[in-house]
Amino acid sequence: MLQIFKSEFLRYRTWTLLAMVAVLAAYAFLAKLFPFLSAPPEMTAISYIVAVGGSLAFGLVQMLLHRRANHWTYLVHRPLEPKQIYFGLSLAGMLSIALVLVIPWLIMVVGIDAFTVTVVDTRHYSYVLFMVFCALTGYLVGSLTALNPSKGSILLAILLLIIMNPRPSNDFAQFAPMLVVLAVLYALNIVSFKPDLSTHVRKPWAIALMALPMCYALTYGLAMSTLIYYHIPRFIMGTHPDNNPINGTVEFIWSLKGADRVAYALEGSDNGNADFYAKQAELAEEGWISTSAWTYPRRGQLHTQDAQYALTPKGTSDVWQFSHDQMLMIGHSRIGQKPLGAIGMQGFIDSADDATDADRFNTVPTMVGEKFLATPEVIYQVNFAERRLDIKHAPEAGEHYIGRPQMGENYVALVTNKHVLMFDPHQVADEYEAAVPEYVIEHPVPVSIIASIDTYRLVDGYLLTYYGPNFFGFDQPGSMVMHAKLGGGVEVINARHYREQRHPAWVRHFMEKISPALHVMDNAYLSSVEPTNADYTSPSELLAREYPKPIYWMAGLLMLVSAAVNFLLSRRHGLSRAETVTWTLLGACLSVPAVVAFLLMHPWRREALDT
Amino acid sequence: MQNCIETNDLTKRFGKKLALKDFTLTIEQGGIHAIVGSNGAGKSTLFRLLLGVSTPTSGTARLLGADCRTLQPEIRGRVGYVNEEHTLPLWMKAKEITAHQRAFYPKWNQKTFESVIGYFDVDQNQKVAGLSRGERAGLNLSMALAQSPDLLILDEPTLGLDVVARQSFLEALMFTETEANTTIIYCSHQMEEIERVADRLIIMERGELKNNSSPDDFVERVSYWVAEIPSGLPDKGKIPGYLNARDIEGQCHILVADQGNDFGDFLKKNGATAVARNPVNLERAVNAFLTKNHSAPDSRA
Amino acid sequence: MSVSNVKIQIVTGDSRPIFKQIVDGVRMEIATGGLPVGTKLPSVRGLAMQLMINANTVAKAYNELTAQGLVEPRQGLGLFVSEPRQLLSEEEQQKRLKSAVDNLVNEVAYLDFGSEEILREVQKALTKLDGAPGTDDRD
Repeated sequence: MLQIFKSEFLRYRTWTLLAMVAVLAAYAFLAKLFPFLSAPPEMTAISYIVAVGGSLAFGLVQMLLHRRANHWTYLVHRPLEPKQIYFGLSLAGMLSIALVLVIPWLIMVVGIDAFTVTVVDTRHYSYVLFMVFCALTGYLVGSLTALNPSKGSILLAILLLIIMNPRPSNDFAQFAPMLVVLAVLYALNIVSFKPDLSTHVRKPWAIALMALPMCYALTYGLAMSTLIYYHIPRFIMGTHPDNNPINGTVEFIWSLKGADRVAYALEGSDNGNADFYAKQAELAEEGWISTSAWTYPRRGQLHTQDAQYALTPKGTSDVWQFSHDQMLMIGHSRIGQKPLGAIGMQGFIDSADDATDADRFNTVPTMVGEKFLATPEVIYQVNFAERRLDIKHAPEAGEHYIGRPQMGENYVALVTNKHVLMFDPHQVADEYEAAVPEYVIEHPVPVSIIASIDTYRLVDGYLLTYYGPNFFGFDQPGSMVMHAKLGGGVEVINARHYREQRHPAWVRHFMEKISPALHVMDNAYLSSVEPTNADYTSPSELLAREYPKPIYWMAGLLMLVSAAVNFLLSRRHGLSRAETVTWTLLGACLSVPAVVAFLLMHPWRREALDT
Repeated sequence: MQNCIETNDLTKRFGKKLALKDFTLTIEQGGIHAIVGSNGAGKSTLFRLLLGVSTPTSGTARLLGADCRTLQPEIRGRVGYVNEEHTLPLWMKAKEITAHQRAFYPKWNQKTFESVIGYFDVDQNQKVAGLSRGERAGLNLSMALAQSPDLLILDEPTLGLDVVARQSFLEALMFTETEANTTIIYCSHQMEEIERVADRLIIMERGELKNNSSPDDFVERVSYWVAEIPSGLPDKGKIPGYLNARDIEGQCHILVADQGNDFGDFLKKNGATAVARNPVNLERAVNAFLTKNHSAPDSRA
Repeated sequence: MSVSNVKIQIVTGDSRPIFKQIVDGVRMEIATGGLPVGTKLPSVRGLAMQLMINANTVAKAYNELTAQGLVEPRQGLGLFVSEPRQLLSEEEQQKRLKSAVDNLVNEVAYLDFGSEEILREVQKALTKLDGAPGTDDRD
């Protein structure tokens, strides 16, 4: 085993060194373009693609080189268990990847930490762990693709999405799934690494472990298949709602502009003033308020997820960064790298070393613009000239912001879990005044089901149109027009229910239909990892939904049919009882994707079935 | 005594192609067994099945008594395998790879290694990529023999070697003093080599076993007849033991298998005016077997 | 009692198997006096290495030579050229003589020699054979 590792590591030693130097050179170059620890998102994306894609390609090539006929026999035919051989090979591969990623990163971060006053936190060091785990996941998917005879092995790359896409709410949610994914992939590689690579895995646990992520990837593939037999044909016929909006759906509003939107939302209203408001809207300035929840930063989050790198007051060369280790804003001047002290919850401190626990922030604030710090509970304003920290605004107890301040032309909007708050921009810009909202508009429905809000500035306040596809309950689209009056008071002008739907139910609820279990599992995982993201629905909420009846029937029927098809296919392939049971259960639980997974995990040629 | 190799109705199918067909072969311990067959006769498939890197469509294969589908490291340690490419890690130095290999084999015999490598001029500090084909073959054979295997499978080991390297290879293979009574399976296209080294001659043709005997007994099986047949050769399907026939200046030169002198009478009965029996050498006899179906595609079925 | 140099060559691709070529070669060496009685033959391994052939083939040839009575083993010492004695049956001898004559006739038939001349040469060769030590009672 050790010998295999040594030999394999030796094989890629030169490449490892070259890659390491190349990465270091790239880092050094990038550090000239922007502060190294606040790479623009595109740069981060490219680095992920290079690291993960490169590792995947490396794993694939490494194992493909070994699986050439004579090389494979040479490798496998020795007095060593296959799993030990694989251990040696993979250890060498993974060590090479880790070296290429870790060493240049540490050189950069240690250098920045030691020779500059830039804030370097533990999370900047541990970020490389995240990179390495993602790269190793890619590597293991690559080697599995080379070793496993299944045509669908590469689909397991979907696991990368699971671990890289969400913004986990804590370190455990960040790293535990990665370790589980690595363990699963490693186990699959081990069972796939057998003398005869052309045989498929037969152990029930391996089948299940492989089929589950494959099915998960397949649900997206199957969902995309609606393009072929639904979206594209309707586009060709010119009846697709995207190019031919359907009057009577809530989405029809997207095809309208300005006051027409208001008129549409007011259609069929029995309010005597409806016409009056539609007319008013024609002259009004329009605006738009987003109600989507924004995930506030958490302590120790990946620095690549920071929304803003620093506060840089105009006219100075000062840079204020937030240190997650100290939970303080730390300032320095770019000229001469002069320290400027720190900002704590109670205001400016001369030196971070003097900070007491009372100074440290409880939650990580996000930086907004040039002088604001926002947490879900409070928005601070920093007065750098006078070294003062003021509370600009704080919602009432039990209330918290769900998004960042939105700067409109006529107002600054803040959305809380209960209200829309609209401020006078001049007052917000004022250095000394606390901000008091001009309008406080209670959400007519829970904020999570409001898709967005249109605003129209009237002489005596604002006209607001709320709408969403689930506005009056699941699958019950609706809109509401309200008048927020200057000096207080909100009047509901009209609430409209929409009977028409843009797409038929089987397209709207395609995921739920083809695999209810995977849909629930997907949402359960994502909503537990990132609870603040309203795109993910918790299982209890999912189960409480009332879908159109045919969806239930079709989903159930597909599960039954899938179980039956998998059972028959298992018999056809002469599988053992344990395998047959496994596949039948997978069909029953995961529905259609499990049938596709079966086909991907078994030979297609008839001849192979004759045994 | 346990057989080195034992296959029973071994069949391997690749798509529509049958690479091995009901292949039943027993190889006892000891001696050098040459395997001959044209390209695609199923030799490599047989070795792949024996080493467990391929799974039979049906039938069984046993290596040193163990099922080839589930070979344990212990059995693998007792079976050496050398392929025609002499696959070795190109990036390692000769001495590194020797140390590497030595670590795996408990029965490693350094004396054997040194005596075999002595036949070849291998610089131990050279990387494998820099070795000539002959040196690589030598290094490979040295390591294979030093493992003191009970069974050594050599798949066309002298392919592409020059005369000198080939001679060294054969000498080293045949005359290295080893404690182990190694059974050697030697697969080659070189009839001259086979004549010199083989105790047993195994002939494969289109996935089937055609012969398993000593080379001398095999030559005995083939007879070579020259006949003048004015009426022309009878239908090939009707000639007993027919292997191949050629018309040379009006005379029929016929090679047949397993026929006695009464084959002359058969020819006379079928219109031959003059019949003579010629001696035949190993190469010709083997070629006759291997080309049997190729020269007479109409006589199959 | 010295180990002799066996001056035989083997040819691959011949219609005679290699072991037969060794038997023939050694027999000829003995007949022509190249290997006098009492000479020790090379060991099996030695001859195999000399000829670059499988030792089992040499062993097979030595067995054949022993069976024909041309050589005899001495316990632990090896094989030695023996006093000639006939082990072959009358019938076998007749058969071999006929085969040898056939071969000879076949070879000389197309040469421009008369029977007289050929017989004379054969006579000469046989006389030389008779003169060789240890082959007195051969005809």
